[in-house]
Parts: sequence; C-alpha cells; structure tokens
Amino acid sequence: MSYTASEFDALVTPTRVHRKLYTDPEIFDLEMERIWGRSWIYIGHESQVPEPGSYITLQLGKMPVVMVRDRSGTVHVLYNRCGHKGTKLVDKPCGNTGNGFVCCYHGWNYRLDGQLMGVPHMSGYVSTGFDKNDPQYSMQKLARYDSYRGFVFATMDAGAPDLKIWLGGAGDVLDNLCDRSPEGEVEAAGGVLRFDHRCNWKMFIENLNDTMHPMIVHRSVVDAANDYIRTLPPEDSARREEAEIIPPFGASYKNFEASGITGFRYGHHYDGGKTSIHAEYSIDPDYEAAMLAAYGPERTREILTFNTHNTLYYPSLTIKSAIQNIRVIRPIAVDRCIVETWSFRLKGAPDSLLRRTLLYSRLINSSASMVGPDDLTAYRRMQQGLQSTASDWVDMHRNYGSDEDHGDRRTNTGTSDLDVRTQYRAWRQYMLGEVN
Amino acid sequence: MARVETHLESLRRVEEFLYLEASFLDRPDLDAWIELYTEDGTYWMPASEDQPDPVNHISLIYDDRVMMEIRRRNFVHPRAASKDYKVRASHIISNVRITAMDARTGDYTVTSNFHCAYHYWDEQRLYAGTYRHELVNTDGGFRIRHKRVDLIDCDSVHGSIIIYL
Repeated sequence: MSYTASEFDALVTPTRVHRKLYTDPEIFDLEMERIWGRSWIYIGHESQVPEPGSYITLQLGKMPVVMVRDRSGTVHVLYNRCGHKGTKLVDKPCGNTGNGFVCCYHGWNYRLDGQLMGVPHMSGYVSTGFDKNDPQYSMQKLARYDSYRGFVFATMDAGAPDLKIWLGGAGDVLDNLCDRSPEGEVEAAGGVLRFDHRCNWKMFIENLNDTMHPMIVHRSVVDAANDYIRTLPPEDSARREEAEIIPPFGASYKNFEASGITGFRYGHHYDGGKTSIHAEYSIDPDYEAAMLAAYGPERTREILTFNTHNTLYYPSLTIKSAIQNIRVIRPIAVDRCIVETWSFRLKGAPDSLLRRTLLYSRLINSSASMVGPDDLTAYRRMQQGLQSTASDWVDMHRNYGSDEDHGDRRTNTGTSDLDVRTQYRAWRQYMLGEVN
Repeated sequence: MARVETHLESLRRVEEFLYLEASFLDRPDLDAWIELYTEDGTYWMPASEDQPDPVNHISLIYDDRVMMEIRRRNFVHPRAASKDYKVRASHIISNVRITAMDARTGDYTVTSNFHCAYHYWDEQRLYAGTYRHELVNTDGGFRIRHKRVDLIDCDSVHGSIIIYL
C-alpha cells in the first residue's frame, strides 16, 4: 500500500480533490475496503424477498452477497459463498431456494440463515479435525444488517453506528417516500434497469445535486420537448405527463438556487425540500382522496409538499421520494460502475402512480432515454480528461465559506458545491479511518 | 379483378418494407423513419423477457409519435453531447414470418430476427433479437402501427442506446 495517511490527507482539501481519486486503481481498491467495506450499503427492499426462501443476489463492493428470507420471516444478508470451496451458492438475480441452499458442486447444504446442515459422505471427515459445527463452514453473515421501513442495508464493519443513527436527518426523505403511501408502505415493482457507466462511481453521485448542469447538459431534450409540445393543441399537450417531467430539467439557475442543498454526517445530502423540479406535478384526485382519508388534510399537505429532488445515502443509494424511484450504485472498477434504477409502488395508491414512476424511470434514467446518456457522456469525458497531468485538481469552490451549520446538518444555496464538499468530508474520514 | 397475391409475393412485399425501415435506421435518418409510422404508431423495447405490457413494467423505450417527434429533434440538436458521436448501424433481418393477416384490410403481423452491428463513439456493439411489426395496409403502402423489439439481452446491463434499433 503506497498511500500514507498524510498523502491521503493531501488528496482532498475543502475546495478541491486530486484527479487520482478518479483514475488510480489502488485508490479504488482502498475505497472498496474503507468506504464500501465500512459504510451501510443498500442491499434491496424486503418486498423483493416476499416468501421464505426468496432471495436476491448482488455484488457488494467486490463480494457476492445474497439477501434471503428465512422460514421465520427474518431477512438475512449473507456472503454468497459455500463454506467448502467458495462456490457461489445461488447465481440468479432473484429466485426461491426452497428450504435452504444446496451447493451445485459437492452438495453441501445450508439453512436459510446460512448455517451448514449437511455434508455428503461425512465418513471421510472422521478423525480429520474437521468439525461440521464450526461456524467457519457455514455461510457467513454480513457483520451487520438492518432495515429501515423495508429498505435493507448491510455493512461489513461490526463497529458501524446503528442504521438509524447513520441515516440521521437524511432519513426524513426515506420516511417521506413511504409516507406518500396511504398505508405508509412501499414495495419494489415493475422491474429494474441496469445502466453501464464507464466512469468512476463518484462522478455519478457528484452529479445528483449538481444543479449547475441540467440547463447545459439537458438543454437538448428540453428544447426538443418544448419545440414539439408547442405544436400540439393545448388539450393534447396538457394531458401529456412528459410535459411535466422533461421541461423542468431546463429550470433556471434561480429556480435551482431556491431549492437549496442540505448536507449531513456520513456524506448524505439532498436538494430541494420546500421546492424542487418535481414540485409542480399534478396529483391524481383518487390518490389525493386516499391520502386525505389516511392522514387528514394537514399531514397530507405536509407529506406532499416535502419536495426533494435527489437524496444521496452515501455511497450506494440515491432516492427520489417525490417520484418513488431509487438508483443504486454498484462499483465495478476505477473507471466503471453499474447504476440500477428501481421503481416503487405506493401501497394503497391508484395504479396511475406506479405508471408515472415507471414513465419517469424510462424517460430519465433508461440507458435508451434522452437524459441519462447525456450525463454519462460528461462523466466519460471527465474520466478521459482527468488522465491529463496538466492539472491535478477537480474543483468544488462554489459558495465555499458560506455553508450554514445547523448542528446535525449544513445548508447552502441550491447551486452550491455543498453536496460535493459533504461527500468528500465523509470520503476523507472513511479513508483515514476517522469516521465515527 | 386483380389477381390475389400469393403468400410468397406477400412475404416479399413485407420483407422489402422491413429492409426499407432498416435502411433508414442504418444511416440513421429519423426524419424518413418516422414517416413509416401511423399517427397512432408506437415503438416498444421491453426490459424483460415476455414482458406483457409496456407501462406497468419498466421498458427501455416505449415511444408514441409524440415521443418519436421529440427524439427526432433531440437527435440532431447541436448541444446533445451524447449525439456528438455518429451512430453507424448495419441491420440484417431474416427469418421473416407473417404470423397473422387480416384478409379484409390487408394488415399483417410479422415477426423476424435481427442482428444490428452498431458503431458508436469508440466501440462496436452487436444487438440481436426479434422484431414484431404490426403493419397497416394503406394506399401509400405499409405503415407501422406497432414495432416491438425484444433484445436477447433485454434484462442485462446496457450502455447508452442512442437510437432506435
């Protein structure tokens, strides 16, 4: 390992970060260990494993992991590795493994909580020192896993703070996502999109609250939509949901300033709150009626006017509570990550809400949309540009020095770099082992 | 009275039309391509195998004429960074079968297999799968009421898909 603590310290200052953070494979490996190995990482939603034996598989950092529901209904997060020779035990994105896991290679089998049950032809192990009950031969559990309103997170660090402490004030947005259901619950619905990003994972999350880019990067789709929608008779254009979703991406600097950015401990942040680019969406009257019946007028108004845009739970999860979709970041290499888009159904809400969520995911987040590919083009060009030694620094000066400290959170104008500064404060702490 | 077209002649006419559409996508020429669709025409690229419907499950693309018109304008916008790199495609269509025909209207449902070699930015990719075309018989020839594109890797990880396949 060639980076000393003081060298790391020098790579990140309050207003700029070194280009090596995006280009050096060694830093990527250390990030997997120190950030992705210590932070709470989003695994999946409990609704994705509805029955005993239901599982989903994923890569957590470099490691294959399985989330599974056992016969008592408890959800576990296990390393997806046979205790014998290391074979992955399940290898579909999702499925049901019945009463337990059976290895495809030598037939070692495990309970749904990972405990080793059977080893074929045991007689060969007699008097060898092998003990089937030694926990090292079971499927290993992640150091800690927990769920918050159905969203399951896990960490490889036994000393990590409790999930609720770690979420902190940023947890308000997960609450808002669930509270938008008349029943207070959401479920994953309508499948997933997986978008290959040939860029460093941090470029994607730095863009989430980067409100200085939409009017530049997304101008082409906003112009195209406005140009065409303008030609439609008003009665046609008024009922197009696309007309609500696409044009706000061209909102002015002033609009984005008003949305504000709020940053928290551990690298979390969101933009919006009082207002966001989702604030002017129409409300299905049946949905409004269901919400009023469930919560009454005051609480309904409170829930529906808490309008955040993107919220980051550093480093792996970003959610849009007003849209009911989430994106999950799965890093692959220093110059590659996969971004998953999942959509959620608000339990007790009309089907039109899920259809709008899916429309949004398709229009904005699909690899075949007119939005995501333009963002990705900028990230890929950064990935290429940062190979240059002409300058070593990536800048984050915007509105530096005026972040307001409110104890558990910091705020600044919506066009500030407060979000990126928040991420790199956490990055530095994780990488130096100073996070607590 | 005109002679009734043989199955082989119908098939040939359908194939010619599919090749015409493919030639517009090869270039690509979205202005010409969009004119092949009816006013209520739709283009659907599902994100899962045997996907039953386009809107209650996520799709990679589901465009009606309005979205096609927006995409056509976006495609040539000078400030669309992802369009700075020219797409060049080569579609090969085969295994063409007429799976349904309305004898009264002359409308067809046609399935085919396609391979699309696709050059974009710094790489060449291969997309493959099946097409399902619902073709409407008009005075000016066929028009597409619906095109479904089932990629064999529809539910896999995808890079940017810049244009219709």
